[in-house]
Amino acid sequence: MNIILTSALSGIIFMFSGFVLKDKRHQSILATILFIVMIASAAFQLQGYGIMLDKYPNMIETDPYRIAFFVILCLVGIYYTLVNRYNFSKPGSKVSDYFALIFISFTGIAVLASFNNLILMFLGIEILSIPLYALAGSAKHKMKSTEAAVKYFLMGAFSTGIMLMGITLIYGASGSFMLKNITAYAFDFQTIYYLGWVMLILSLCFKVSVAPMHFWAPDVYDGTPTVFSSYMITIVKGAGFMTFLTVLASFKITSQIVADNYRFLLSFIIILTLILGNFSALKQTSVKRMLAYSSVVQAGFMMFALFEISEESKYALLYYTVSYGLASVVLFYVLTRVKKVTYKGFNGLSERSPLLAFSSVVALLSLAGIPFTSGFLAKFFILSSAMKEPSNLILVIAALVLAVLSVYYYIKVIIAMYFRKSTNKKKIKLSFTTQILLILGTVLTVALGVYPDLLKMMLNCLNSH
Amino acid sequence: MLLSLLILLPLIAGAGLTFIKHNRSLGFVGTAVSIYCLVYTLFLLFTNTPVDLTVAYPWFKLGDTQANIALSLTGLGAAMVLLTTLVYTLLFAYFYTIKKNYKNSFYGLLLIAFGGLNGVFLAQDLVLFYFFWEIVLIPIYFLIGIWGSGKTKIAANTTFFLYTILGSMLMLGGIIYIGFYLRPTSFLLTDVVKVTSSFGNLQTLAWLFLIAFAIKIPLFPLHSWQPAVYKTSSTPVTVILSALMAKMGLFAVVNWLLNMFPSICPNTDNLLYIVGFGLFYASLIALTTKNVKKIVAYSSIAHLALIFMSLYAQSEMGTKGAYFQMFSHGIVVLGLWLSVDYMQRKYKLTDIKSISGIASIDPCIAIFFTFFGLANVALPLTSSFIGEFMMLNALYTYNPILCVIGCTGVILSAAYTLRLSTALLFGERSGSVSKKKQKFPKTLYLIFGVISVIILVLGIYPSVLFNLFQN
Repeated sequence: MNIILTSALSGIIFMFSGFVLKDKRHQSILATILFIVMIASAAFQLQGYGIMLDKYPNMIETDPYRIAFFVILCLVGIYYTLVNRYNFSKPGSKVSDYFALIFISFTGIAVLASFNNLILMFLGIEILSIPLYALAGSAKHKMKSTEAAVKYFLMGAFSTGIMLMGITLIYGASGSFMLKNITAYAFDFQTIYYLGWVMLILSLCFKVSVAPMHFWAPDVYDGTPTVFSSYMITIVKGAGFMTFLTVLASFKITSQIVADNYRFLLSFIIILTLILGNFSALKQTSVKRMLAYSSVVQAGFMMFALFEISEESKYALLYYTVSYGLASVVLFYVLTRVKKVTYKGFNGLSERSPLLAFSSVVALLSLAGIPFTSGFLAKFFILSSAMKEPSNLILVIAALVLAVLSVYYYIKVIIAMYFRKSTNKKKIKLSFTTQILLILGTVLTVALGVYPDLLKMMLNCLNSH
Repeated sequence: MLLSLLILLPLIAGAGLTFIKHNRSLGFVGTAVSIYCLVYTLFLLFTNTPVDLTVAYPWFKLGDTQANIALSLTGLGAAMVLLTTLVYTLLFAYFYTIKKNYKNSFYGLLLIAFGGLNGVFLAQDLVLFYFFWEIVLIPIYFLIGIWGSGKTKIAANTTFFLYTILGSMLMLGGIIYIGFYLRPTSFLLTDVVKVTSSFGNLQTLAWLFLIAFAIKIPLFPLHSWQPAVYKTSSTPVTVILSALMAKMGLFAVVNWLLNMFPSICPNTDNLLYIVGFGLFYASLIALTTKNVKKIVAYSSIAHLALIFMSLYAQSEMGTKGAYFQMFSHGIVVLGLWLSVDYMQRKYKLTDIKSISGIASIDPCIAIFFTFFGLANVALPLTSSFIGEFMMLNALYTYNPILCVIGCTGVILSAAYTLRLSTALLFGERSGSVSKKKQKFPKTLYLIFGVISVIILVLGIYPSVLFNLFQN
């Protein structure tokens, strides 16, 4: 309950902070402080100092893995807030409102980190999504932003409907909303039960933007002001996968037929996502849109964690979220600093700002999965967690071969930055703090890529008594 | 710790040169680091230091399989490290002499590749090996992209990168399969070999690795990236690519593929016929193509194909010959590229018709170039002769047809090498070759002399190297 309370309180604080804090940068500092408070409250909850935990045993629980996930998302949130501290005023002047929306959506994440009941999961997903619809449309004077908001909202509402239907069917077959009770069902309701699961999976696919429910993603990520699409792509996606994993972990595979069908469904989703995402990303001329499609592809990779849910795959998903989050925050920050978000806009960036160019190279290599960056180990971990059956090798190889395509559109950015000359020779000025933050992100990406136990050590610190 | 120095020192120096801004040219740092590494390697190899040349630290654990930081300086790996440090020393010395001032980041990236190469040759852990295998690629990619020349630079570079990444991804699939389905206790070579030898049917897996290595060498159907890249990249990069990175592929075949999967497919001969065809085909192209860099590139493809064939000839002589030739080819090709580079700078050499008659005004480079050419043809008394003789001998006992293909390659190599040197060195003076006698820089005598001496010494007294393999 701690994390839900603190994140909700943070949202409320920000609603009124606009009256007190006139300087926009102070809002980011406040946000950082509140993130730290949230992390601290999560740590307290893990240590057993939870508030009102026993009041709602049928609704929430303290799951160390998900709390750790929440903390990681908060840390990515801190990095995101600090790196983007000047960018929040770009879409409009209501910085405190934006932060309020972000923290309210974090309340949703906190709910998702604690639910043990499908109703609460639904609630969490809605609390997470509704502020995002508003954030997507925050650049009110821009058509694309409005379009993104409307599209996101309509598609979101649509998927919510499917999700509710799925939950209803599962409830009908099993007689419970509790995660631990929905594993069993009345035998006569077998069809309804599995239909419910398929609907639930599909609607969650929508939330994490994997095919066949990914069509909204490129338009929304592209239309949303860059600073907020960065948030959606990293933190919200991570939270979505955390939910997905938790829900699917309570899906018990009882027979070979169920196992085959489950694997078939997931392989179908993965392969379709990777093919559609990669081939669409190849043709883009805008880097932002390419990154939007690439986020679909990365989600396809993250789906591998759901293939054989185990301790390893859980850790792999966490690792992937961190690695992907770091790389994306950096890249989206770079997007805000170039005039045009097309490949041409990146021409000659290495001369205009060596640091920006270099940190985006590391981020791109991390997304592409090249060793010595965390992205490689993330891919390695997540693919290997799915490698329990020899027949899965084909799926793994297919994913890796498709990843070669993604390398192509990532290095197109590198080519533009380093091998092409720009007409615009004006240097891009970075403040000292930003430089430090970019270097920190790069160093972290490389450090996690060389010494992956770093993350484990950090999580152990959180858990130890 | 002793061995990781060979990797860390170039990596750190390289990163420093690349990222820290300096107005002065700091190329000498590269020279110093490579000389230090050379001396250090020689010291480790030839004084019987009482240190164990194998180290292993636990790195990270996933599932039940432990990845280790395991390095070892033994056998072929030792010879390859020696080759790497030697080639780098001579390369840096050459560029120090001709005083072409590249940016510091150029030297830095070269040094990062240096560290990666040493890592590939030292690593005894599959995951660690993969790390270094990939890290070599990144600096080379930037070196070609930024300092390459020609209109097709970016296209060639992209092809090269994607090709190699494709290979690496397939290999990664193989590693994941080994680590998480076969489940060895660790990714150490010895542990991996234990599980792969106890499982019977692993041919798909072997192919995944073979394709990755074949792209890097490059072997026949997967070679198409190579000539374009050699043509567009600047000479230091070409040297690294042909003298060292191609050896990475062959070394990986020896150290990993042959150990993990002694037989790739039931009928290895068919595979070798394809490779042999590639040898023949590359030699023919070398005979007809005009661009000098491309000729050397195709000649390289042919020579490496022969080495690959004899590795599978299943005889000790073939293997030894192949090892020897791997070292020797690195040195010979270094000499060839450097002399081509010298002529390119001085006489604007591009293709075979662009200049002629150098011998009359610059006899020194003519002599050296001819010498390296003859070494490339495997004339007796040069190091290549020993290697090629042993390989062909082994191939003959294994399968005479393959031996015939190999011999044809040798004959064709004589043809195209002589065609090249005749066209450039003799005949009427033309192109930018003026009447005036040209001075040959004194230090270049030293560098080309050292390369020639190595070639001769190995040709006359090959046991130096054979002893090293046995270590």
